[in-house]
Amino acid sequence: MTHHARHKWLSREDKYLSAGYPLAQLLDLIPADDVALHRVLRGSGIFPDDLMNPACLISVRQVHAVVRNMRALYGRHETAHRWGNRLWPGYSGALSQALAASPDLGAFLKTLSLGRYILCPGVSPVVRLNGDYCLLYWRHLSGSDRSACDYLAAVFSTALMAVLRENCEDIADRVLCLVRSRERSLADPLRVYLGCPVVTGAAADALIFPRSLLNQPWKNGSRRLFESGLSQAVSRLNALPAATFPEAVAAFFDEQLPQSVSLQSVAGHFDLSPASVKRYLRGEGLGLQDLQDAARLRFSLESMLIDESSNEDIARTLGMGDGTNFRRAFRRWTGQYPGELRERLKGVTLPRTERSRSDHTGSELLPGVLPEYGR
Amino acid sequence: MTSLLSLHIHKLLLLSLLALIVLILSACLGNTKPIADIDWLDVIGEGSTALALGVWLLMILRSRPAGRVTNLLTMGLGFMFLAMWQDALDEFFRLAAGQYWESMIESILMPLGLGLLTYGVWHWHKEQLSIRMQLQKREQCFREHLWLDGLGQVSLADQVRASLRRDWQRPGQYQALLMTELRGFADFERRHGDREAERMLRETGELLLLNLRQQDMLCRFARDRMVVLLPETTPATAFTIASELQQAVEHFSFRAAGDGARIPLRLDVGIAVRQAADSPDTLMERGHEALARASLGNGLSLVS
Repeated sequence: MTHHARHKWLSREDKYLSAGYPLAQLLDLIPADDVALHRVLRGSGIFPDDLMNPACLISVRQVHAVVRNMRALYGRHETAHRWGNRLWPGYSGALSQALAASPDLGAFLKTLSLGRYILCPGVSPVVRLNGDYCLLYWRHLSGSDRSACDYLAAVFSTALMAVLRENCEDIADRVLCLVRSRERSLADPLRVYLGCPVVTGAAADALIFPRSLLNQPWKNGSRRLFESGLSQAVSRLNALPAATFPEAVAAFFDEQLPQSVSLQSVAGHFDLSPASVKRYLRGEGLGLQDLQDAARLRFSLESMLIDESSNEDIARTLGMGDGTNFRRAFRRWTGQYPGELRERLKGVTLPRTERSRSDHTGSELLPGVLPEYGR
Repeated sequence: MTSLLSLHIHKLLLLSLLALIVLILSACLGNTKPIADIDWLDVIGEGSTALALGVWLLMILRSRPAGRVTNLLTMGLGFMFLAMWQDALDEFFRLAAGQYWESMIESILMPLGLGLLTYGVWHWHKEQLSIRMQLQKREQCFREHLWLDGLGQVSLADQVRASLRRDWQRPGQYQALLMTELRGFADFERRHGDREAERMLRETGELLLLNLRQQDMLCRFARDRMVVLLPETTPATAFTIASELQQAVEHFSFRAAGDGARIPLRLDVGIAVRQAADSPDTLMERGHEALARASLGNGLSLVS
């Protein structure tokens, strides 16, 4: 693994997103009889004229401010779900071309991962393969904007399902949606918009589908258009730093799982001082422990859901001693005991699979999904 | 929507003018009190009462169209405001003996205002009873403005849950629940946009309300999915109502904006019938299940 000395990380304060799209699409959902655009833009540093100005660029923090206001003011208008329903392929040039022409879900997710800072700002897609299943997590990369991240996870889950529905027949029983939030105004509509089973209060925002779905040809796909779009997108994305610092640290934790990692190891890996690691993360509203906990939570969740492991087994694998320690830690991470989550998952069946790749064992990141641009 | 306040500008101008006249009269005909003689406790008490009356008046005018009830409430609160305004001004100006207009303002306007306000509230009560008749199928026994839905102009599913929880222990309550959805709504939304989709939701919502009984309640669960609670209803009656709703929607001529082309609509209806071991959540759950079956089949499905 390369070290990252003098690496330029993408920050949530960097202004690189177009103000026009997709924000204008979200603001278009303000009810027609309401003229409170200024209330939605309040505190974001964005002005109505900026939406018309093609040269105006905004940051992830500004997007989050608008999303937070939108959720508070118009959450009950199902804005997250309606926005998501029409979000992709969108109007992001070559990236949108690659999304629209994706020949299958694997190609779509590859594009999504590549253009994640533009297509899903602030919430990063993480694709993991585990046995017969593919899990797409929405990784929250901004600790202080949890409300905005919950909202955005709902937006992107809806967007992905809208695209899947257009391209694949009969997907309702092939996807399971996990939602971290327990709020009904987010969860109830998800069930209708996604058209698949939804588990709320599930400790993570994720979509689970059979691994075979990744290679199933899509109705509207075209490999030539996809590859042309993707190569253009890569050249555009080369101008951006390859990762945010929290994302790079989270990926390092994922690599090291199930081992726990110390601050010194992280600092050594990135060729930084421990104080700099802490400072970079604090700047993004996160702590090292948050990221370590998130990685362990994801591991535990997969072990419970897919491998059906017991608390003792998970505790042993994660080096946490006995099941009681794991239960206590799980409650600290999620606000609920593992048993409560298992109760919530009772009666929920995992999507049906075709054992197309039965030789696979263990979990891994989808090959080729993480981009190598900008290095 | 045009602000309702703009309908009442003349009332506000008249009241402001009267308040100004009272201020000028007090200033011209009285002497300003020295600071030491001002009773600040009275100023705060009387001034804040006048202020509160003014704020109430503004809130009423912002939320009501013009009409008899609005006029009565405005006059009542307006007279009370003027009386309290004069009372507060007394603390700053000392009037010479024999200035009876001042005590007349206080003593006559206050009871007159109270009388008009009471008469206005009585008419408002009657008005509410009429409005309640119109809202009955939307809210039944609960009213919670936070549950009102900005899209479909009916209540959200929280209203259904509250009604189910409240009446669950009463025998014979809510024996059937319909879960409905417009077939192909997602495609329509993507093709015609959000504004047209919202209009379709509003109009079909109104149509469904017209075709329900007085005791039934219609709420929106999410997007185009609606829930209908049918109290004390046999499965056969629930089936008939569901079929009638389907027919009403099929015969409805929804016209797209622009070319005015008729958009054919079809309603899928899932029927769930309450069982002994049910809870409100399981009944709702079976409604969703029935709807899923209905949308795969001929559009009507009963899960008991």
